Amino acid sequence: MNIYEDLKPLQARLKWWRILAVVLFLGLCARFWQIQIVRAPTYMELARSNHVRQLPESAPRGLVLDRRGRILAENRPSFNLTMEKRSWSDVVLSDVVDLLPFSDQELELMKKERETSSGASPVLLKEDIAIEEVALVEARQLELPGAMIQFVPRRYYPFGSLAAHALGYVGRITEEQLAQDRFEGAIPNDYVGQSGVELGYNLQLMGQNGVQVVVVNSRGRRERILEERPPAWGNSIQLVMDLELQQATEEAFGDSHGAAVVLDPRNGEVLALASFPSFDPNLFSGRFAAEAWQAVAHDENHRLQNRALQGRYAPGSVFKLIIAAAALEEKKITPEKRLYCGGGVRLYGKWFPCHSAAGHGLVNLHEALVKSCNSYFYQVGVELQIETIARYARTFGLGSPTGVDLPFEVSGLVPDPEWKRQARQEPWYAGETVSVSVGQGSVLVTAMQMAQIAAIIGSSGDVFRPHVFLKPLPAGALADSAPTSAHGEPIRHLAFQDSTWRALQEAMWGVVNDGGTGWRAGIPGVGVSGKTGTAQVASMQNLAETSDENRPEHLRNHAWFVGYAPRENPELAVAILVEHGGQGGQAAAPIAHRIFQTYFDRAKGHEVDDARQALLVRH
Amino acid sequence: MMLDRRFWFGIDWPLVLGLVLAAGVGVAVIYSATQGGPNPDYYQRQILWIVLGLVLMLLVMAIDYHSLVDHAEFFYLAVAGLLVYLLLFGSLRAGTNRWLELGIFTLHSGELAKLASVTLLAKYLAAVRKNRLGAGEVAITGALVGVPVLLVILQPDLGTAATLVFAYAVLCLLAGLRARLILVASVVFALALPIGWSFVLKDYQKERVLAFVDPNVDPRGAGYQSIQSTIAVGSGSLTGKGWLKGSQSQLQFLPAPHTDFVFAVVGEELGFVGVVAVIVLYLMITLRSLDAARRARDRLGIYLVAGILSMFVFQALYNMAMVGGLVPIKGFPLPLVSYGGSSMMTTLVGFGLILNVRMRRFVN
Repeated sequence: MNIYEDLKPLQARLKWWRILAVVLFLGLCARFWQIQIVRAPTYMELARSNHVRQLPESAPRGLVLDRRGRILAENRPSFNLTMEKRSWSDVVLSDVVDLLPFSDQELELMKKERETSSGASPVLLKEDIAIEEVALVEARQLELPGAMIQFVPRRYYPFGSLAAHALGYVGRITEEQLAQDRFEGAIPNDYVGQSGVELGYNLQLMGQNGVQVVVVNSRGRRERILEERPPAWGNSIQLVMDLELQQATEEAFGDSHGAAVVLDPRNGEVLALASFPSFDPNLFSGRFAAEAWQAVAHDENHRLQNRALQGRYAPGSVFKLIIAAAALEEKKITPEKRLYCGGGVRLYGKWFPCHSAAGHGLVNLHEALVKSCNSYFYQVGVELQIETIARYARTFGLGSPTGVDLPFEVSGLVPDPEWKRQARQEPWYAGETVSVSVGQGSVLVTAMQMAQIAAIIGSSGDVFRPHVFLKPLPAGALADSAPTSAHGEPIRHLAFQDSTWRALQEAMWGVVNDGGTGWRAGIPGVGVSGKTGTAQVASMQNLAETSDENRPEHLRNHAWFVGYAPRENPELAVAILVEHGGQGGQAAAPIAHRIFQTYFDRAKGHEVDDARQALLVRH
Repeated sequence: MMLDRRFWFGIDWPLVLGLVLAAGVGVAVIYSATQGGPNPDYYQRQILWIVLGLVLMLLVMAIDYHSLVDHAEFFYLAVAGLLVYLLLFGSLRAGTNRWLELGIFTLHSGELAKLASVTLLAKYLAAVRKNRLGAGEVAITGALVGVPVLLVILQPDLGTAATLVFAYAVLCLLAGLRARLILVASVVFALALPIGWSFVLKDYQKERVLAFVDPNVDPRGAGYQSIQSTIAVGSGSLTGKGWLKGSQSQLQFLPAPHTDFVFAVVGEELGFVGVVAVIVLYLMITLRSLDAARRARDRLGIYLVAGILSMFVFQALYNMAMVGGLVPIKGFPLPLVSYGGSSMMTTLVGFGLILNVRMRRFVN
């Protein structure tokens, strides 16, 4: 059976659907032409930026070695937990926070990091995570898309706070620093030297950052490396500093505050440099060290300040050496000339006391220096007048930086009438010259300058530029052997009469070995020579009323010991300042003793032990 | 059964070839899209679905479509029952209860609903022996389609619902409507849009629509898929990055690269050349099927082909347009190419019916 159906109208309508289908499918082709041909370059670039990442690889800084090749600053591997800003996920973040311990501060810093991040480098979530934590995160890689472990070499100071001020510390580069020459080649987030050798020799120590071009998937997971330029180590440098002397210096200081500088008078090498209180530079090697940094930076004791270069103190009686040299050179006195000390002296109608109330009687130059008689130098100073005193002080290097190769050295101050007119709009008073004659009043010096004065006197006038740098080493290399101490070429020579130098040197020998104020520094057979000083903290007027020991500590005087050894051809010059230590002979001289002892014990044939110890220290 | 020489002779081999080619492209692209993921063996399962689908297609072709359509009411009621059952007792999967768990295989109920509804619709319309539909017939057929449409909307599966509505509209227009009725339907549709926006669409669906209007409003959320899909296609350029070499698909920037966005993988790895080849393939399948409708011997045949084909074309066009960033993102597979057993098998069964109609175009 077959019923005929009129299909014509339906078939006619089908034609329209046929046309519609062709139009729609071809229209689709047009759309894909637009995307895939016309706009292809745009989308190709978008696809590339989707999965190609340039990951900077931090270069390890060069090593810093002491004169015997022992490592003072190196790098240790560390791991940071980061997350790409573009694949940021709050869900993953909260999983990470559950997985690892986070302090409130870390969370806050992380938030700040994320807000300020340009997106060029990953946002730091947690810094320097433990190896167990690395394993924990790696094991959950699939559940934590976007979270990445980044390997970063981190500055490490194996001896902690030892020589912290000389070595300095590293920190994340600041906006201002990025524009400066001494950080040339650094990129944001780099760690650069912020003080000490790390800053002074930053360009040598800084390596060349590498880069890794990687393909990542949508979860930020690295799939493969497209291209890699490995980071290049920075060059190592060897310092002239001496680990044992540094250790001895710091141990001798104990809990006292102050500064110590040990120079080689033959060439200006800085063998040890210490400032107290100190700090552990390892604390600053990270970004999230902010808490530690705040504590140290705003410490009322100014831990970060390098007192040896930045602490400005009155020289006290050490200044008498300069007065003596000036007076001898200017022929105002002869070594034999005696002046009277009656427990003080009246000048310009005012009583200037000596530290010995009973008085020293009639004393010559040698006795005046050995006993540190004030009355003698009050009178000599008045005779010399302030301009001459200032001139000689400057000849000895006061009032300007020594030029040591460490940053932030200050000048100190050599006062004269010209200075006072400009700085205070006041005339110079005669009484001030009296104060300056014994190293009080406005005169200010640094421990580095004082050590240099000791070196100048010990070497009869040779002036060297103090320096910590010995030589550059190729990246990663360890030093071969201990350098010998050679005589250097002085930058300046003070052409005083031989008799002047002899008078000063004999007096300094007497201070330590002939019943003088510095006897505690002495070592039998070595010929330690020196001069003690007491830098007044309270004003002259109050001085007479209470004895120094009875004052509260912060008003107690600063103690100086400045000296060298041995007596002939000295190998060591030191300047020790103990803040609020009282008298120089009591507080500072024993520290110098310890330093000399360490050095000369070793010189007497302990070199073999040293070499062995050097090996032990390195491992 | 008539598996004799005449049977094999009656098969429209060019159309079968087109179907197999499209499915073959699908297998290759699914292989590429799943290599980096957790299911690198999906292409093997897809081959299994294709083989099973072809077998089912042959079976469907073996029986005269008139005999098959005799059971349309039964099929329709069974599927409606299944949809109700799933709504009441079905387990949620990916936020919807549109899946029927059958041991190792989960059946997508919407695919069955489409086939069942269209078959019954064709049967009803074929019985109307007028050149134009009256309002009554439109209402009755509307109710016929409306029941499964409502049930799948409740799942919720707007994609299947939209496909059904589209097929219904195509069939009504084909059957003939008065201009006035078309106008009324358009007005009703226009009114339904804001109501649907407020009451029917879920928040995530609204997000998708808004993200389509401007994908950069929320590039990490709803706009992400759209942006990544367009980047994938656009970066493929003329000749593509090469099979297995698409960065967007291999590195998982592309969402659902083996199912809904499989065409984006084609675009990225095979380029404009591959895209045009696949589109042309779909066009050939469409035109060949329309040819089957034109030659059909009765209304039932025409309606059957038109209903099934309109759903196929609608899904294919929508999916490709979605990958091309032309329409909001909707969870449609690309029929024949996307991974998935339900879609593959029902599509092939549907084409079995189309081939069936063509095979029996000669009046006995």
